[in-house]
Amino acid sequence: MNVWLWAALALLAAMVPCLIACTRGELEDRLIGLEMAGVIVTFELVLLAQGYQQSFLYDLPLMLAILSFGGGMTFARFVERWL
Amino acid sequence: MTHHPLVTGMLLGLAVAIALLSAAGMAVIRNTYQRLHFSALVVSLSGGLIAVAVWIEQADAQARIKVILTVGLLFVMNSILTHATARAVRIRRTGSWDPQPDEHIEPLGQQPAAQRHSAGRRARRRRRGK
Repeated sequence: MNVWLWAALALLAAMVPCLIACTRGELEDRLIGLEMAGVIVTFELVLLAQGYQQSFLYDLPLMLAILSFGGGMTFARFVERWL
Repeated sequence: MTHHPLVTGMLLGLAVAIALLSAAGMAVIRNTYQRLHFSALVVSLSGGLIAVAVWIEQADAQARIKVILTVGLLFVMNSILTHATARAVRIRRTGSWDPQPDEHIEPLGQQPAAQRHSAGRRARRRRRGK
């Protein structure tokens, strides 16, 4: 294991508070936990791509960054209007 | 292969530490509007440090550009998403984005009255001291 994979493993611990935030409290607080989890998973994928030295893996965090933005905006709209 | 293993390790350690602290802070803080700020910390500081570490270590230009693009996109989109979320929370709680009649919000660029008075007192004290 190289330093990138160790960093990816350590960064996984940051998902625990996000999971706690997503399962407790008001609906708005859960949404914030979900958005934070999206950011952390994106960086997790960057670290894994660099750790495994596979060039095609860099497309995954790029796509996730774009899609998590769309998902977050949709959730925010639903929280604002309908949920 | 890496040319700066110590630098890369330090950058990654700092990035992961900031992300861990931010995630913990987000879970601990109870105020919804204050919670929103923690993702900005992760995106700007941790993302920047990870991008610098990849730039140092990675020789492939395509991979470098993709990582910079990913962090840049997150940087721009996270601020938009944070604003949209704050707006959604406010509209959900108060029914409207606009200020409520019983709500006192200072106009942009104007200091609250208490700060104006204390600043004036400090200036008078300085003049008397001279």
